[in-house]
Amino acid sequence: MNTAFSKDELAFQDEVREFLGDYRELDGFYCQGHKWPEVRAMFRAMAEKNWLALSWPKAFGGMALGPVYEFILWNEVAYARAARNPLAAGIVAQTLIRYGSSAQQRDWLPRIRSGEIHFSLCYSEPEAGSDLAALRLRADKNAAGTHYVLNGQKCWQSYAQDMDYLWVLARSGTQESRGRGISLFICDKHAAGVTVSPLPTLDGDQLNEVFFDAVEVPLAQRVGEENGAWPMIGEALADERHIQFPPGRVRRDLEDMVAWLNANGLGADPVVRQRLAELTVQVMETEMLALKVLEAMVKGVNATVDAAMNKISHTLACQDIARAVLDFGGPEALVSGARPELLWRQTITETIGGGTSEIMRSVVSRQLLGLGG
Amino acid sequence: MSAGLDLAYDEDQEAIRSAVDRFCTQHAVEDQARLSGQAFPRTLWRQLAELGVFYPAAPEHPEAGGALAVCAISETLGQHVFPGPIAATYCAIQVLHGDAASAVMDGHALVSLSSAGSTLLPWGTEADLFLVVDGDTIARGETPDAAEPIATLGGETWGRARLKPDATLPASARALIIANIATAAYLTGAAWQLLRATSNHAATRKQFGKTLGEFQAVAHPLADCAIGLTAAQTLARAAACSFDDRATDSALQQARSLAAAAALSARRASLGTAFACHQVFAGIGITLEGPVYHVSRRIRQVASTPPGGGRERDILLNEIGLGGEAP
Ligand SMILES: Cc1cc2nc3c(=O)[nH]c(=O)nc-3n(C[C@H](O)[C@H](O)[C@H](O)COP(=O)(O)OP(=O)(O)OC[C@H]3O[C@@H](n4cnc5c(N)ncnc54)[C@H](O)[C@@H]3O)c2cc1C
Repeated sequence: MNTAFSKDELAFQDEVREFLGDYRELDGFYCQGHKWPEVRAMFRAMAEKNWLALSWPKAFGGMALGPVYEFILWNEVAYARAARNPLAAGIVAQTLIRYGSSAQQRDWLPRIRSGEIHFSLCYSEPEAGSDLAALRLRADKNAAGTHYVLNGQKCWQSYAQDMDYLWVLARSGTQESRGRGISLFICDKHAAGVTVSPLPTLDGDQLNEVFFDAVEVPLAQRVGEENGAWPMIGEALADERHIQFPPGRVRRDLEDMVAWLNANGLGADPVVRQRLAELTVQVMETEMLALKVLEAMVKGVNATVDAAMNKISHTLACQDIARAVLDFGGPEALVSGARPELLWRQTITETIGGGTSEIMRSVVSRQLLGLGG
Repeated sequence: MSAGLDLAYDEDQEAIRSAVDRFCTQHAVEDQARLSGQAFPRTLWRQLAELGVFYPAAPEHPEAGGALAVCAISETLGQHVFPGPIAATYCAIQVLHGDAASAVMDGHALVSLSSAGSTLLPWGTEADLFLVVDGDTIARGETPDAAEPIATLGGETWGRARLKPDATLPASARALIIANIATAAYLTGAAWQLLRATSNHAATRKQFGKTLGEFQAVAHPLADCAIGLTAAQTLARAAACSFDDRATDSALQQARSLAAAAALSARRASLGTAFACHQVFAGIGITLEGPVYHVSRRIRQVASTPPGGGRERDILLNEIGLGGEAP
């Protein structure tokens, strides 16, 4: 057994930490929408080191370094509260590498690798949240057969206001065909007929509704086979599992809250100490579950169950930390703009986005324990 | 079991509850809870006071309904997420007399009740009358020259200033019982309303061809919320019932521990309900305009508003005889 990173990996970690020294004040992790120009610039700077393509094959300009490097990078970025990992370099690029045509790989991958373009994920719809296979947004070929025409609505799109392109799941088959009738498209956010409308959220940021009114998408921007998106998005998700919920975020939450409790003279209270000891254990459990996901990725085995366990543990830990501080902090913890109340609000979203806790528990109960649920 | 056991509100209490409910509906009070950083709605507060809602707490107005009426009114105000220092006002009416008490009861004077040593004063920029709670005692505080406005999670502007407490006021212990009853009732009222809205959503929204409520992973946590809120609400009502039973000292003692338990129970149950409801509403629930956040943040705010903290815990631990000093 070995739980340590290699010498080279540790050297990379040092390099990342040094890089992040310049972004200590960025604070783009929670409300990225407020900091997008700065976050984008940081991604550009990362791209200059080719860090957006750490795990891509060399044939596509990547570094072929594998999941540990990616984990180290995005874990440190989360700990530094600088940003969340960009979807373009992960889900989008990995799907294009695996399923894109050579023309698509040539057209899109270099611009993603350089940090020039960014994507928003257009999956959920008002009537298709947990049940994504029920999505309704239509994609029909036009009469000339040159374009798809997209009609319908998406909702809850993160960062769509700032992104350049939309990564859209749309129904090209019948409604009854569920997952077998869905295709994947790259859509220019500025295409005629696309409207992005903000949905202000309780963390002070926003999600978005995205409306498609007869939006023409060239055939060349369908990724993979028509009606073939379902397995592709599953695999793309699998590629991201080790970096989606990095434990550095939870560790940093704990440290910030400890600092706040100490600064407010609460660190010696035995009730607080008891609870903080429990929360520390919870953080360490989360760190171990993240390693389990990483191990599965390194070994190339299915990480679905590990990722579900990690997501639950991670998101509950950050909620519990914030909630405990609000419980102990009295009125002072309510002051707007201070970390405790921001974390209290922000962490509410964590057990919903990226797959709800209920759906994650179903994954564990079905796939690990062989039960229903 | 006593043949007379009755945990329901009587006709008078139901009548005041209906009147408050109508008033809040007419004034679309819940919609205002979505706003942040607004000036305190003084006119609304006075109009509420004109309904006589603060009289039941006044020792010199036993005909006004007493603690059970306070409980019924606070539940209803919670259901509408009514703004302002409700528990603090009931508390103040117990300890103040004469013109000061009248001004508070009539809604002309707004009360700020803070914890000793704290410079964060609830509604501190708006308040006319300052009280400071220190353990089991309440003192009047000198009105500060100016309080620095402080925005808070609950969307209310509070104030930062250093208060000089004056002499301790009599009847503080009774006042703190009333404050706990009002807080517990308000929190359970707010959380029940949210739980009903969430249950309606779960009964109608479909995913995977079923209503959300058909998934036990959704239904059971909501059932737990209902259990917790029922217990907390009953504790608050029982505390009020004991408080109103002025005949014996032991009833007051019982009211004190029931009210302490009610406050703790209501904080836990209402916060748990808020989180469970966020989870069931999922995407819609995290939007600012959605059906949950204006209630969940208010629950969090009221749960952290003085009086509170370790005092109730100590009352209960002392009652069960667990070592340490009597509070
Ligand atoms: C912060 C955040 C960012 C997001 N970003 C994006 C994005 O970029 N792109 C995008 O497309 N979407 C995004 N989403 C949407 C997200 O994927 C959905 O909110 C999520 O899938 C849940 O869907 P819903 O909100 O419609 O809830 P619903 O599906 O209506 O679920 C409501 C409740 O019922 C439960 N439930 C549903 N089905 C079951 C079941 N079978 N068993 C047990 N419980 C069940 C759920 O767990 C939940 O608690 C984001 C959401 C959040 C909160």
